[in-house]
Order: sequence, then structure tokens, then C-alpha cells
Amino acid sequence: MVLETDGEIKLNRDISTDTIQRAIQRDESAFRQIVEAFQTPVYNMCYRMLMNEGEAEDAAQETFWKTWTNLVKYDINRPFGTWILSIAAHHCIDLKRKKQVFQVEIDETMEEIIPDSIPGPKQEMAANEREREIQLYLQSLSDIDRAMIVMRYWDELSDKEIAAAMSLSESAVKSRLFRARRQLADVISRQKAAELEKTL
Amino acid sequence: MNEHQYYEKLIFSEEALTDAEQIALEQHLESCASCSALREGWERGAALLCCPVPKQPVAGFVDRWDSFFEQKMIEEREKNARRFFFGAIVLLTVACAFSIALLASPKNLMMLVSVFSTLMSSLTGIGIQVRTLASIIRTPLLIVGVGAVSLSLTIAFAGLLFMKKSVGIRQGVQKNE
Ligand SMILES: [Zn+2]
Repeated sequence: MVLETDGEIKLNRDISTDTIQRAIQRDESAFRQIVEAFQTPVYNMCYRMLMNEGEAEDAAQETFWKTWTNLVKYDINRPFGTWILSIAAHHCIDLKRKKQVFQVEIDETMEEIIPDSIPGPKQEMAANEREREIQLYLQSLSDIDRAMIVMRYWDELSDKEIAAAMSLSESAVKSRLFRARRQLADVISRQKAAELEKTL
Repeated sequence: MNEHQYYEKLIFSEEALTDAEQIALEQHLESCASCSALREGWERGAALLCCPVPKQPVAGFVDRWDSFFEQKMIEEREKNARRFFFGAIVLLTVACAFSIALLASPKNLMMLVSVFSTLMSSLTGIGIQVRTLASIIRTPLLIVGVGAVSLSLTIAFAGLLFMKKSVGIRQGVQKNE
């Protein structure tokens, strides 16, 4: 797994400090460049968190608006990509908190899905099996753990960067990531066992 | 730390294991069903999370951002205008209540004037007769009072009209969408 240096480079390679500076000075065209450069990581974070394309689109647009209105607070020494992902993750966590009732319903559905029901070929609407699997397993994680897994595996952030983005200590990030990986492995092995049982 | 926890640490380690750790883990897995299941689960998990493809927004995200941004700016301007209206109404209401209270009671007026006159004389050393000051201050107060009442009524009415209109426009936009 690529760590420490690459995470930072990956998320900042498409945007220059000059563009960020211009955006801070309320240059709308410079900010448009930022939107262009970060649309995929931000949208991806929102999609992985909310599990819905329409909601992810709205959340991503709101994330950019929040970024625009909070640019004065941005610390130029901090990696911009980490900062914007942190806004996206927190925005999605807030959204989900506000819709807690709805969330409980999803959790209940997951309880039903994980032990024994694997969507059969007929139910399989997603074109990409791998994508479907990823989404299914990610749902078993808590919001914060899920955001951290997205930052680690999709955006290749280091423990230190994740800690900064989620306002946690590095040791908390390490232990939460360990717990998240364990949880994923557990859910996958239970799913595979159920699958095997079904075929027998 | 129990025995399993040590092996779980090895299973989920992001660093490469040493030969000794690798051998110890393999030996443990042969006899431990739960760690073995976790390891199998994680093999699949790690494969799924290895270079995952990010979900792309539908093409034209930046163009949609442009309209979103424009809409947000309009909303922001409306919000500021509303804040200004309400601020002005509150300020004028306070001003009017104050002037009316003073004008309605000669005692209050005289008290204010005497406080003002004491303050003036202690600051500038110029003594002004309370009665003279009262006659000077009475007319402007009357004008401010009456003016404030009519202005605040006008602003309140205009504010209501403005809000009704902007709600109407927004409903129209939503209908069109
Ligand atoms: Zn074990």
C-alpha cells in the first residue's frame, strides 16, 4: 500500500498553490479549476458514504460550496486535498446523522443481507460485480470508519493525513483502520460462508 | 493480549511480515478456524480494495457547479438583503419606542436632558440650561419619532412584499424544474 508521500502528491498534483491562493482571494475561475481537479475524489467520497448517486451529486456540490465559503479559514500549509476530503466526509456524516431514522432502516436491511442472502443473478442490477461487492461491504462500517477506509484506499492518504482530516490522533486512526479491516474481513467471510451453504 | 489478537495483528498488518512471523501465522491458521476465516475474508477484502476505481460523477459536473454556484450566490444575496431589512426594522422600532417614550413623558425627557447636560458640562466645561436644552432637543426628537414610525411601517411593508415575491419566484422555479 502506498503511504506517507504519495497520498499527498496524488491529491495535490492537479492544482497549484497559485490557483488556491487566487481562489482564496475570491477568484471564481480559479475555484472552478479546483472543482474540476477535485470533482472525482469528492464525488467518490460522497458516493461511498451515501451509497446513492443523486445524493452524492448534491453532497459533492454542497461540499464545494462549503469549501468556497470557508476558504478564508484554509491553512495554506495543509494539503488542500486532505482539507477538501475532510469537508466532504464531515458533510456526509452530518447528512447521515440528520437522516438517522433512514440510516436505521439501512442497517436493518444490512442485518438481513449479511448472514445469508446474497443477491442472486436476477437481483444483480449493478453492472459491475466488484463495485457492488465493495459497496455492500462498505455499508457494514460506521460512518467515520468508512470515510477513513475511502481516504486510505481510494485517495491513498497516510495515517497522519487521515488523522488531520478526521480530527483524530494518529494512534486512533491506526486502531480504527485495523478495526475496520477486521470488520470487513469478518463480513466477507460470513458472506462467503453463507454463499457456500446456499450452493450445497 | 490473547493469542488470536497477536495473529490478527499479523493478518491485517500493512507491513510485510518477517519469515518468522509468516511461519508462526501459517502454523496458527492450520489449527484456528476463526483466524483462518478472517484471513480468507481479508484476502478478498484486500483484493477489492487494491487500486479501487473511484466513482466518477456524471459528465458535466463542473457545468452543473456553475449553475449551483450562481443559485447559491442569489440565495446568499437574498439572505443578506433580508438580514438588512430585519436589522433596519429592529433598529427603527427601538428608535421609535425610545422617542415615543421620551415624548410621552415630560419627566423622562427632562431626565434625559439633565443627564445629557451634566455629561456635556463635565466633558466640555460649558454649562447649558436644562430648559434650553430641552426646547432644542424636543423638535428633532418629535421629527425622529414620527419619521421612524412611518419609515419602519414602510420598510416592514416593503420587506413583506419582497419576501412574498422571492417565495413566489422560487416556487415558480421549482415548478419549472
Ligand atoms: Zn486464532
